[in-house]
Amino acid sequence: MHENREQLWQAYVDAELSVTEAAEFEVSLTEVERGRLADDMQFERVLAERLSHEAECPDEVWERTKARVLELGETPVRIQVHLKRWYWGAATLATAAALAFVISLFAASGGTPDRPTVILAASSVEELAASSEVDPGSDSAEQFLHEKGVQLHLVDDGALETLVRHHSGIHFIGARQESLEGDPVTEVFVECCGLPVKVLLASLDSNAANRIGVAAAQNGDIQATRVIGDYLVAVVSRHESHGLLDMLSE
Amino acid sequence: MDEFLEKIEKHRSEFYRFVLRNVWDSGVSEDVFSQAVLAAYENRHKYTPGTNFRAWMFRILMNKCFVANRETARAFEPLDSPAVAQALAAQPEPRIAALENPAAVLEQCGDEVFRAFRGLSTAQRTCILLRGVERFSYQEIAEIMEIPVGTVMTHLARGRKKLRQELADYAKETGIIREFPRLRQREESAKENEGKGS
Repeated sequence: MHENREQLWQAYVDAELSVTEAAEFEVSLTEVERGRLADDMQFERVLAERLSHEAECPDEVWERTKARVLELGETPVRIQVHLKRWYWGAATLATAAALAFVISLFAASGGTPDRPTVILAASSVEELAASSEVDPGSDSAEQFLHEKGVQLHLVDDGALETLVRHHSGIHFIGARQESLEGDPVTEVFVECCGLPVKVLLASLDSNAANRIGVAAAQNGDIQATRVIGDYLVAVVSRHESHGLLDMLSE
Repeated sequence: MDEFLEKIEKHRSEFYRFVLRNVWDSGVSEDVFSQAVLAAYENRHKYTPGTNFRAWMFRILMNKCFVANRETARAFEPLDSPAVAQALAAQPEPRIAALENPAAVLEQCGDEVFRAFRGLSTAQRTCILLRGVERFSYQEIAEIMEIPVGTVMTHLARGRKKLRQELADYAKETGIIREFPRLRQREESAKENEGKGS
């Protein structure tokens, strides 16, 4: 069958042709083809029925899933609600913000159990470069991700420069594997405008991802988060560079 | 219950069915389904009210299936290339197409249908499920999968051909169908005559 004819045939079976196109196609059919077309349509119908048969979501599966969602969903939402109330609560807000700022300044140097180093911004590019487990450059970083079983892809060094508008000197300076709440977190280090930026990757099902979500809601050093594939990705820096989330893709 | 969760619950069987039929290892379907629902819930702020909720959910489900099957978006074959089109055209027409009432054969193949379906690539299964079972248009499938409409059509054509071939082979092996050379010969000569006539 001619390629175009085959496409028309398939589009007819899938009811993708307009009324006029379908009528024209029907006229062009021979008797044998008419029979085959009817068979094809019946085949697709029966196949769809077979694939749908006995495939309903069991109640117990749904209840378990719902419980997991509610369990995971509660913490960050509650914190956000409380924060909103604080914002509108006037006087206490100023005190709380000032306190949080002072605490974050102290924590930045080392981290505390409440605010682990992983979710805190690095103080300098040199500090990040010194703690890297790999050489600078996108190839080393991507290879490191794959070695750690991360199934995401990095843009190359050239493309990285274009991700954050009006910023310059953006390049990969290393990567490292850390631990948060007992789960692994992969960190990719980037320099942007001479300032350090960490991009964290944590498996969505992990406690680490949950911890990052909570930290993001607390307005710490986490600028932005995004779910990419099976990972929660977060940009950690005091330098505005959330566009770096685009450096990863499935 | 949360309004967003209610929305998912309304379509839960469609979503579960898609996962159940799409993951190679059906034993992990519950886990994949749960992960997809969790991911959707965590990203609920990214869903724009008034837009196609089912399509939004199926995109998440599809991604989870690709991960579960250890395939990535990069594993999509460049099916729009002329070389692949040629290879497709060169594939023999599945014997099941030459039989009377292939749907009856399909019914008699039992669970072999599911085994043969699992033999397709994740992209092919996704296209067939979204089109045949979930009734999405080519355009909607293209948007869900982020691939051109032409590629959707090719995945569909290739998947269907392969599925029919597998089932035809099985049906022949198990005696569900027998080949009738004379019938086939008659059919082919009828085709030739029609070709000459036009």
